[in-house]
Amino acid sequence: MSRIAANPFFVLGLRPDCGRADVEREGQKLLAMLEVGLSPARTYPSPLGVHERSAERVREAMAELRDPERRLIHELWATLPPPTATSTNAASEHAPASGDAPISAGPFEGFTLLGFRRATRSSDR
Amino acid sequence: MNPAVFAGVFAVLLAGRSSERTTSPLTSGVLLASTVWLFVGPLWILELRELAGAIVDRDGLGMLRALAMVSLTTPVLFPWLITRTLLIPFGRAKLAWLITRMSFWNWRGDVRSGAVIAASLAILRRADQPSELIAWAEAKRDATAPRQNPVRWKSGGATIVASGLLAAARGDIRSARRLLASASELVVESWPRRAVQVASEWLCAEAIERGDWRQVEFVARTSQVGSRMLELLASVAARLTGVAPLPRDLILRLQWLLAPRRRATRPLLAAALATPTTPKPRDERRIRPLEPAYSSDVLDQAGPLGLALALHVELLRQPLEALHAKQLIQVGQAWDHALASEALDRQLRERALVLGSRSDQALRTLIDEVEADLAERIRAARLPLAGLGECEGLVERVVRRMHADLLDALEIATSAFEARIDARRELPAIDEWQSFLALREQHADAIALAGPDLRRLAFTQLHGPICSLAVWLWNDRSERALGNAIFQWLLNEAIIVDDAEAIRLQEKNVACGI
Repeated sequence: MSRIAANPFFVLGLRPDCGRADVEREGQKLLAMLEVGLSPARTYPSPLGVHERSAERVREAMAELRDPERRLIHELWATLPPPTATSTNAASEHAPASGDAPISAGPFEGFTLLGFRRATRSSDR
Repeated sequence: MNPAVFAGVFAVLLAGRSSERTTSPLTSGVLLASTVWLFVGPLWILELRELAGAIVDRDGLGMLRALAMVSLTTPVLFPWLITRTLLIPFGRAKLAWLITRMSFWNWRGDVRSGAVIAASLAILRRADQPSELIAWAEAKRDATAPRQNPVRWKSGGATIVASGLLAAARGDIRSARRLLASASELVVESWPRRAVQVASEWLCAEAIERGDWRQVEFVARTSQVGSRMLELLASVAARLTGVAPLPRDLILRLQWLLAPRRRATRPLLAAALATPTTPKPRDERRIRPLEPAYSSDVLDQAGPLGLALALHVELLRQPLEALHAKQLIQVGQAWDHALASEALDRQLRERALVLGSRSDQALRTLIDEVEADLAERIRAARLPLAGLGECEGLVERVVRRMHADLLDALEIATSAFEARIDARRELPAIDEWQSFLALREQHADAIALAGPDLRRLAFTQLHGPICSLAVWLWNDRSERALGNAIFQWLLNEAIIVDDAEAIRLQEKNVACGI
């Protein structure tokens, strides 16, 4: 899954046909934006949803794209751009859709309810 | 002799006696509890009378003396009541262990392990759960009392439950779940009912934490020992999941009123009451697949690689419960088409030339990565390989490789297990049980994927080493309860795979009892 979700082209917000200079320029720009905490730089879209972008991830992406062998593989996985108009359908990393049961109840602290754990006061949490 | 001192000495003597496990726990439990009550009961009543008299006479000194005597004899007569209501909630593990050693009625059959369960429950209630205290409880579990005659079984269901709770206290939830679910597989004579009740309630609590109400419903409804709490949980889970039979509101309220911990479980009742009483059709209970991320217009314009990628993305996005073999086959076919297309070949050559890399290596890596993704999804969604067996190309390769991997992994695990048993490298009994459970779990996972063919193959691999372990436990290590449970599992498997020779052997072994 990380091949798509953490694909360097999606992390840097670039298309596979970009040049090497574009990679360096965009990487540095994102690092500077992350440094000052600009909100547009904090997340990025991929076909699998919206993910958190960190300086470490940006540096890793730049390093991956400097290697020609690795870059060619990443280009193939990034052939399809993240969905734009139907982006509401895409799953978000912050609210994963996988495994969600259609049960609206809860969440409950089972161990506390059944006495296997002492209840913590709300102020302790 | 002071009645309190007499009562204490008497109870301690009986607690020591209780380490001798018999095959008729009910009789021994009733006998011990009756004897305690016969001797200590009248003293307790006498002291209560003295206390009442002192209160009436306003004799402060007499009142204090009688109160002290009553408070000393009460734990002897009501050990479990005091442990359950005072010592466990306040996390007094050592005291809970000590007092429960006198609980001959509630833990009849295995008072020693019952005391460790009480200590484990008290440890779980503590905020810190210190490792020294857990180690102390484990030492109490493993301690063997000096005996005149060898016992038939040292570790029973209660020992397994105690180990499961201690694993939970250490934070090893997976082992705890595995151990606690296995406790009632031993013959009924080897576990106190309360131990299995504690195990079932813990399993429900853990499933509630994960929001897995189907598991709650399954555990609560199939538990070999019922309780009012389990009845309430089964009904709440049935309402929330929509699995028939669904209890009506009145039944739910009644069960809640009769169950313990009413204040804590009130939110569960409210959630269940807010859910309709009509059972959900099977289709509605299924997880619905997500809407496609890409519109059909985008897919129409995409080439073979774009289409394969779009379908691959859908496969990764979907909840595991919504995945099915048809979707996987479709993805495989799309990849087969894309990988064989001239467009991809041309794209790879052109880009490899620009970048200065090798196109054939990139294609090989791409195929490996696609296969790895597909295998991971099949494994995670537990899609039966049999349903994919008729395919060709990429999916066929994935299925063949997964089949071989499953058999190899099972063979490696079995070989290591067999080597240890052959070399008679002894582990503590509970670790022997855990090693059996781990191998069995791996076997279950493999056959869930690969189906009945692998089950037969795997049984021929597993039967010998597992049977050797069971025979060793039964004959030489005074662990007949564990050995018998393993024989029972082997018999069940032999029947499923229709191995006549193994059936005959295991029927004989199971008939040996404990």
